[in-house]
Amino acid sequence: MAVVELEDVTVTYHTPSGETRAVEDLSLTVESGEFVSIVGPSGCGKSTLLSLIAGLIRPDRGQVRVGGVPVRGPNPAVGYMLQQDHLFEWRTVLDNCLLGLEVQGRRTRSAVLRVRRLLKDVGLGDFAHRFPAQLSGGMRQRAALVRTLALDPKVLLLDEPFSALDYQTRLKLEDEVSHILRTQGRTVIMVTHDIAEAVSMADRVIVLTHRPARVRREYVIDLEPRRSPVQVRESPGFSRYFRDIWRDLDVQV
Amino acid sequence: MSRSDGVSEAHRRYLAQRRRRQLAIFATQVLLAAVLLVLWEAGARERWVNPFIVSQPTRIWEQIVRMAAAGELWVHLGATVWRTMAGFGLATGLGLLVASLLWWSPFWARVVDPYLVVLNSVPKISLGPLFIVWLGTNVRAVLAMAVAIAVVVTIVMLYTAFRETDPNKILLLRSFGATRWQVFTKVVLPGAVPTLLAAVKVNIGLAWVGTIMGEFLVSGAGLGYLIIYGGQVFNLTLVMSSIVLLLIASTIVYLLVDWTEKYIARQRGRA
Repeated sequence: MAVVELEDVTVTYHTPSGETRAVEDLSLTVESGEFVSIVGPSGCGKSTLLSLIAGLIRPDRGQVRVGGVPVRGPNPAVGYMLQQDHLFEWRTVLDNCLLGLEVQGRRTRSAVLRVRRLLKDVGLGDFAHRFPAQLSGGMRQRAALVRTLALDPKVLLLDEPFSALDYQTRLKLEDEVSHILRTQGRTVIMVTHDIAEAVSMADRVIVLTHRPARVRREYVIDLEPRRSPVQVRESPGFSRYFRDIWRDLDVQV
Repeated sequence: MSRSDGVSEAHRRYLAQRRRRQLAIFATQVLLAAVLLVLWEAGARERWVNPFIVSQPTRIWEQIVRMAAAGELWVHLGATVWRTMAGFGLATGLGLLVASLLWWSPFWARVVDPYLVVLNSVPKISLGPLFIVWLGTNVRAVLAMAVAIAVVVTIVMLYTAFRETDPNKILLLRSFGATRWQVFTKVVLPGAVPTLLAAVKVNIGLAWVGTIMGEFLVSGAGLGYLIIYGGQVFNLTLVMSSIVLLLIASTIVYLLVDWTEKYIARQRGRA
């Protein structure tokens, strides 16, 4: 079943110096439980796609549907995780994770218990009452993940969620996040500029063109799924995907 | 190297040296004040300087004790402290309110911007006569002076802090479906608390300035009134005594604000 559908979507940004077409006649569909990565040249409008699905911006033309319903604004069924953790320095880890529930008026005792359990699952059980400044980069991003999962979204949007982390932390977190999200059977759309990350985590990789963004090619990643991203990186087929996508991106330095 | 209690000899020496230095600084500070006081007193007694013009510490002390005994000290001190606090409270509250409204309406923020620039640059003391005519020669004019001096800076400081809220934090809240009011109370306002505390410190200082200036102009009580009155009748001891009282009061208030700021910072996990 298609959970997220974009149909001939066009988005234009207006600034005093002119207008920029970020996305043009783009269509894509994401199935329930699927993990899709979107890669594309930098500045091609990847993040715009996520903003569309999250209901933060409206397309000029075309339609965006989540769960079959046209998107008209922010939607509790969609969770959005940004590149930086954006934890609020003045709130404890637990209070940060409860932020979304608070905004939606759903901060109940059972919700708090559930969030505490989530924190424990990502290894932050002992840090619930610490402040973000006392956490490492990886821990902070885990807390940001819990903050997103706390709302129990059907669809998770990840906008380069690991790019601010150092390499080791990043690999470790890719494994953990991928394990958590797959165990919970979430539908995930992840934007990244890291081809290896896209191939190793996703079921399907969508490559976009230069601006205005359109779908250039799609790859169904067939590499013994359900293995961890670190292991996937060692599969023989991995480098072929990497090479093909690299060529599609046609990187000009 | 002895490590009996887990601290190396070198580290112990370092700590001891640090402590000695702090002690030396404090001792010098006290000594400096003592030397100045003694010189002042001696100079006045030996007629190196004219005590009629510069007064002298013992006379100031006697003046303060006399005023305290007669009860006037508390009347004047109380009046000034009360007005300063009221002016401070009004200016901070009003500044916070206006800054919030400006954040709420970017259109009006841009409309009001040049007016704020002009109001900020005009010397507020020049408005004194207007306040007196409009509000009367009473405490209201004094408060108006204190508010006028502090409020514009507060508005500008807070509005700038509100506007500098990380747009991604606002984006995050909007992705949760937050209303504009929720964006304001959950991120914009709490994010500006450090600036608010800084504004409070500035405002306290400005409220003292405004109150004393207001009392120079219109009041029949307060330390500002005593200073002006003392100057007019050439009672420099009265002037000096009032200044000393003002020094003590403003220092105590500043320390209270400073302590409150540190307390809040600790509560927010920043210390």
